[in-house]
Amino acid sequence: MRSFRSHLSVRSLFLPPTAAHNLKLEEILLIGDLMSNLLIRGGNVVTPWGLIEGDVLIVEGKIRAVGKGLPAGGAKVVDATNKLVLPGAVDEHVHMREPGLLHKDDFTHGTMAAAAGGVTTVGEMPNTLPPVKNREILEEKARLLSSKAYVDFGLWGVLTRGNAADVEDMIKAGAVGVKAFLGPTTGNIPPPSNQDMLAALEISAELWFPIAIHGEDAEIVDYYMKKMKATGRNDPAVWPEARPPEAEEAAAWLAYSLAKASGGWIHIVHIGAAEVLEALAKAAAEGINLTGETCPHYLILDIEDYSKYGNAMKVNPPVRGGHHKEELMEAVRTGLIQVVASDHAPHAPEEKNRPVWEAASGFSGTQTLYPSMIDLALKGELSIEDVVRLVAESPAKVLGLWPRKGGILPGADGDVVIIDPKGETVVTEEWFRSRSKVTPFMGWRFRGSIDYTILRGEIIYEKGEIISGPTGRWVKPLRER
Amino acid sequence: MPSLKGKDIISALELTREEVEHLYKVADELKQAFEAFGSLDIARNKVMITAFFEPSTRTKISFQMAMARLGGTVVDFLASVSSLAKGETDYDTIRILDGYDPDIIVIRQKKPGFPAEVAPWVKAPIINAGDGYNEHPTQALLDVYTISRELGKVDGVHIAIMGDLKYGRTPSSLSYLLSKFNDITIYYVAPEPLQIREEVIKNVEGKVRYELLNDIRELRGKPVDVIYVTRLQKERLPDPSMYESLKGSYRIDAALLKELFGDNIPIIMHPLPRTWELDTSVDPLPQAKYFQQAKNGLYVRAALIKEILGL
Repeated sequence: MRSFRSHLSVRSLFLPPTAAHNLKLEEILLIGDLMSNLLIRGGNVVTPWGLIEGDVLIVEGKIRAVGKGLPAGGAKVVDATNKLVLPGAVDEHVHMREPGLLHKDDFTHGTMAAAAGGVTTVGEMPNTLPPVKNREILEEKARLLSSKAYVDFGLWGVLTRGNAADVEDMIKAGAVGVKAFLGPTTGNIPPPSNQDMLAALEISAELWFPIAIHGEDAEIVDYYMKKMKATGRNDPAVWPEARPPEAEEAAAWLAYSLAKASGGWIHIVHIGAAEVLEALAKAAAEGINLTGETCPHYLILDIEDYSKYGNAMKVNPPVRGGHHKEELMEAVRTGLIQVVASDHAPHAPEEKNRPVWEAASGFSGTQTLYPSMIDLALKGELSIEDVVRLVAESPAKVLGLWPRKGGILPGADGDVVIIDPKGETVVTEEWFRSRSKVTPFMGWRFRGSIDYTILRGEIIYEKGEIISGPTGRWVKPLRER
Repeated sequence: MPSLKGKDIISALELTREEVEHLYKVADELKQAFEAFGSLDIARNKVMITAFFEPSTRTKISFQMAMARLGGTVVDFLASVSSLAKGETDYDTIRILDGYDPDIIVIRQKKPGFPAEVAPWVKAPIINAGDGYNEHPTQALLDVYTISRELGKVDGVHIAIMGDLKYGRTPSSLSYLLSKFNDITIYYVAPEPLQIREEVIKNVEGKVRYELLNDIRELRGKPVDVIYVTRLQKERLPDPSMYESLKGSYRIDAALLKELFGDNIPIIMHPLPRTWELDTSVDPLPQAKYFQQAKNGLYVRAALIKEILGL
């Protein structure tokens, strides 16, 4: 320790950048197509090894160097002084409705929303029409979406009744994992039985991919839905009572048991109830492969918000607020819940503007994912490193895309977001790119603004404008256990 | 005082016990410093190039993190996309990279002996980050560091190394590094076709005690301080049908450890990534050290970089 105390007196973070590199370094850094190089200079960069003040150089779409005082050569330079430089978000959970549900939204607008929200990779769910239940449909969907994507995308397959063999096929064809819809959903996909789940989980144990589940027990939900409907209540706040936390609790324990029995990996998505945490904690303590995702609305909205936003915040599982909100926040801080994703689920306005029992569940969320989470960091509820871990690094790991996606480190794709922490994001219909403008966050002001979204070295969004074409690509996992 | 300044790190055989022990002291100091200060600034204006000709995520990130935490610049040579790679041999590529005067080049290449072959032609110090089945000396450095910090000693240790010992590069480097210490016992546990290579035995013969075992159950009743599990890839087996029968003999789970060792379960290590050979039921055991081991990679590699740069 004594030997380098002199170096440690000032943290590198507070030192001004210098440009003492020699020309030779410049040569090596800038090999390649000079036109496409981009140097992000002098920002507060959140890397997997922490926050550093420095530069990021992107060459041929990949991050080539991270350091201080990197030479620009002929590269385009973006000044990031006093800005936050973060990896693009990886929104592992989006429903962009194409093909088959175009009255709700489409992939073009969905991925434009992603770009405007600092999301550079999305994990597109399989409950489109036809549902993605085999390799042919997966590859057809990939072909269709490739010409429309403004950001990169991974594709989930579906685990449905009796398609375990197709699951293996889809994974080998590049699916990021499979989703099991255990209750009724958009697309009316028959739920897999426990036997189907176990068969797929054994493949998961072998090939190592997540089986994402919507964690609500369908029968418990049915029972309380009928019961609450019979009371004649019609206010939106009836929703959390019609789908009680015990429905999530029961599903979580079943998931725990199935993962334990099989050795496979279950990822419980959109967790809204504190009761789920006990199963996650027990699984973590026993080395059982059970992980979790929650969404900004469960961390930010509260029970009294139903009177303000009505069905705009109707979602499954429901927003419960109170101690659920507090415990979920603690769980994302500690890493008990690994991921925060949007569950982006646009609907046509007429589907949302119905009485609570008939209104569609879910809302557009991918564009507000990063802004709402960065707001929490700038308010001091989470650290900015936490936000990056929850919204970029961990979801990239779930999708099998880490370290190509989700982190600013040499060798990774040049997917970067530059945030002005002094700016402000105002959620307006004009800013909102999804065709479905329904969100409880409409009109909200989040701290911090997105100055740039950069996809593989190309600026795709700059201060309010999408400035690229649909250059997104289908990305396939490369997994290490 | 031993100095690694400007040296290549090609093989664990070339390191001396004094160098290794000094390195571990530096690693301890850096660990404290990183915990206290986050990143340091002692490697400002020093450049490390990672030149990985075969994909690896963990090792590369570990090196990059180590250099970045020291305050240096990290440059990745991207074999797949760079125009440098077009029509060029990997030998030429390294020599061209060297022409830009980096301070360190970290190489992974699947050809055994590749780093040793290029080293004489290259001015920059080279770190071998894995050359095929041959060696992975920095992995061995962090492995032995983990053993010494977990057990409080290295001398006198009994270690079982299991998995694919024939094609694995970690068992050889680990054996070589352990052979620098005193009174070491190694049990090599592997199916016959994947047992440790003859040349490795030759290199450690007379310096360590060793036994060749074919089943993990043969460890019952023996003194074992460390079980070092390595990947056993199905594709390596001469006959794919062997896989099912091997599962029972080479797969570690919590129940098996309890059955074999009762309350005296040895510490469990693994270079990661794992496949089926190490069950996640082992993860919660206090003896499971592989995540700590991976984390130690940062400190040990940072120490190595610091020493090579003479900082």
